[in-house]
Amino acid sequence: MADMNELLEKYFKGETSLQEENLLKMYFRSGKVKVEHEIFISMFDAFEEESQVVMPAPKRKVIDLKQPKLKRIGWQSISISGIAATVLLAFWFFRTEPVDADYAVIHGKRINNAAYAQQMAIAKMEKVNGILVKTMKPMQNIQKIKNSLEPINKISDVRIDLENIQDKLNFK
Amino acid sequence: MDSAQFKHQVLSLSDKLFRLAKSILRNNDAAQDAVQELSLKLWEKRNQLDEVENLPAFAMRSMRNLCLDTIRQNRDKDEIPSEIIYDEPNPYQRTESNDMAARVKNMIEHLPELQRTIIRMRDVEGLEISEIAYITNLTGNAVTVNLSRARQKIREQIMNEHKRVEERIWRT
Repeated sequence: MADMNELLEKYFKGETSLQEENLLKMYFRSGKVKVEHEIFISMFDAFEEESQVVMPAPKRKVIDLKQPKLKRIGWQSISISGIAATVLLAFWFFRTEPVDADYAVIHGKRINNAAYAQQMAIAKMEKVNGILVKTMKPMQNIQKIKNSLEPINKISDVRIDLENIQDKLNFK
Repeated sequence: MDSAQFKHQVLSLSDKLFRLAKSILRNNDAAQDAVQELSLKLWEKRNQLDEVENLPAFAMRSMRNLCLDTIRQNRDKDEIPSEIIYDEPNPYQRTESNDMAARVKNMIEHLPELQRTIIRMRDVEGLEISEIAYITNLTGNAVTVNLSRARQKIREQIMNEHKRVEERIWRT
């Protein structure tokens, strides 16, 4: 054990090799440590315990650090799209109409000349009037026939009056 | 370096890197974030990693630099305490860390950053002095001196602790 004292002294001076230090570790783990060396068992135990420390499982924090970045990009793009849509809608609602609103469409063509448009409208109306007159002619004939049939309708009234008179006479 | 090689050579170091980051930052969440950040940075540089001679040492060095940068950035915000001076544990702490190994860990925790990192890299991770020198950007001799100081401080505190316990027993 004299060697162990020397080795310990060398150890505390920082002059031992790794092999010598392994010998010391084995000695203090052996359970056959001399009384004067017992106070150092805890020191070698501490080193042994420290060497068993492992890194805990990776933290979720790392994953979470990346996610907000993705979320932020998502919200940003949604916000930008929303703003763009609002601007477009506002533009569509409040867009300015052309000032020359007085025009006519003839045969699918836009006519800005008012006199020409008026002339065309009168011609169309006359044409419509002619059609109406032609269409009403048979109706007028029907009315004439109806008027000529008026006396015949009165015959039935006379007949009813005669029947009434006859009834009254029979009663008496 | 393809994804399979990256997984095999870099991601397999996660636990070591986590322990180192935790030792420097003294905070589980911050250490975990640091490991994830470094893994991402190394993945981005995966095509250049084939040129690295000692990948574990390179990763550990990068991890330490990243952690020190984090501390520098957070110093103004007081998010991570820069250094804690070891005091005798109060009654609450005594009940909290009843076993001596926990108290030794607490003692290591209160060492200055460089000593804390070096003692852990040597006694917990079992790295060679030359590797620690590369990771910490120090000479081999400077590493040995800091390692010796760290171990001596722990020994001194363990002995004081035992002395206090003995005195308390004899007083009662």
